[in-house]
Amino acid sequence: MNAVPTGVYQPGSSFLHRLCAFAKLLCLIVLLCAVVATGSLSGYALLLLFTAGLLLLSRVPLRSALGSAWRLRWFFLIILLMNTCFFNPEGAWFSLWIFTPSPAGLMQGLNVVLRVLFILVFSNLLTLTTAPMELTRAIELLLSPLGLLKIPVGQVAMILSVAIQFVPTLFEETDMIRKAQTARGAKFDSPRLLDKAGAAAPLVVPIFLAAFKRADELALAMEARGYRTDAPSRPGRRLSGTWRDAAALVCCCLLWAVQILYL
Amino acid sequence: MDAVCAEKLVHSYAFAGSKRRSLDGVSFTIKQGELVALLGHNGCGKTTLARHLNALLPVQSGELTVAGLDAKGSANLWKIRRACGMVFQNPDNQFVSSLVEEDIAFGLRNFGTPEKDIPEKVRRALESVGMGGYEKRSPQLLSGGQKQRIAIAGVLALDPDILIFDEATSMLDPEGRREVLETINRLHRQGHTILMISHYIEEAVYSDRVLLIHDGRILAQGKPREILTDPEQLRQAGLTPPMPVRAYHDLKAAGIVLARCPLTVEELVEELCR
Repeated sequence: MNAVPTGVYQPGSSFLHRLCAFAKLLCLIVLLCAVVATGSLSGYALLLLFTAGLLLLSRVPLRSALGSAWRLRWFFLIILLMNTCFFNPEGAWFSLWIFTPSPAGLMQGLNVVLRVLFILVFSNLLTLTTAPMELTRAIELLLSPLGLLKIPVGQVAMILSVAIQFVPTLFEETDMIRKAQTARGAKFDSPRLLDKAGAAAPLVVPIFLAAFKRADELALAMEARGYRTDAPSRPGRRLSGTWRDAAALVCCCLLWAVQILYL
Repeated sequence: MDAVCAEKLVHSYAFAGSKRRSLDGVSFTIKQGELVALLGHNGCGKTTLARHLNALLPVQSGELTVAGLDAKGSANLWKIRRACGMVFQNPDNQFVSSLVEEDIAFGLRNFGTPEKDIPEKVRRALESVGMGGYEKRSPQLLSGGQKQRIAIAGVLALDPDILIFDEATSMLDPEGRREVLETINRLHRQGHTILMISHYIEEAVYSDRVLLIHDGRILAQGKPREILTDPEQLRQAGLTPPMPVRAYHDLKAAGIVLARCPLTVEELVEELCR
């Protein structure tokens, strides 16, 4: 319980913290578009610069901003290697058995990995600098047109927000169950793949059961505190934009435009 | 006016054919400003009873009035939930936000409190549980006792008429339990009406009145000094008397008769030193 979980809101008063949640959400969407539009190394360099700027502006510790990306390092490495080796047999540097590493493959791998990486860091920055309930309101506002199709927008937003809250708790629980099962002889650390696969069931089943129990209790607690799904619209904090929000959005749009037009 | 008035409450969960009654004709009242302890072993109907008071379970049969509101039907549902605040057992499963102030404001927003009043109410609620200045913290990083006090603040912010603690101390370490019990006692002194549900008999010692529940029925009710010093009755309800009471009876069996049956360790020491 001592480590600060990654991706959970960290109170602060930086430029990013003070932006309105809805503006930040729109910025994230624009940034996602910009990331997808990027396809060249100079484009990624620009993104990197932009990210560094955001990290400076947010004043959140690097550890929590990049922690989840770091945790996936092996995954990224494998994706990169697989793309490099299998993507395109033509123009390969050399060919060894089924491996044909090629420059095109390397670029493809970089594309995939860097895109996921940037998206991860950007969304992390959003959840790190936005208070959960404000984010819920922002999502609700963003989805509100779907309300016309009779989709319960408020509930969807609440579900998303609560799900984000409980990610660290579930991680912790997984760790605890893993230890408990190890103590009872489960072979998580065995090098044999068969053992590893066999050990998954005693891990997954209790995690799901615990998660359902948690969900049930939380639902009850929320209901006891007056949460109602049939409520008209709950008047939350007003999401009002300022020049800052506009400026942030313009910056993100500019980045997108540059990625499409020049890089 | 009584804060709670229950008359012949009956409730049964419809599990696959079984029709066992989890509440079987429960009648009791809780007066304004009273601290009532509801004692019973696991599965005796304590929690079922508590959930009726907050309209989380519908009244199946019998009469129930909470804070002057009729709990039958769903007409008063939201008024009752506002009038009757509930703190649950597991401190981890009550938070909707990873920011203390937002979590406390959750109930206020649900009941449509004007946005400008919220920060002040949050601040006052936190201060009343001795957690002033924790607005910007994350509940996940607090101790069990602190989490539970935040949960209490979330309920207090709504200014409820009745507070229900549903085994709120049972998942805490001794330090956390002491913190929460102290908070409960302080709230009681401030005039709040409290129903405390527990299977720790020691927690009932400082209440005004004890309700002993067993198999969905009220077995006995009265002052802690009457109920908790009757080992036979407690055993019938599946509970063990508090340590000083056991000591009194053991000494009696050994031929040493104390002047009165002590309830707390301090009283026991006093009697023994006499």
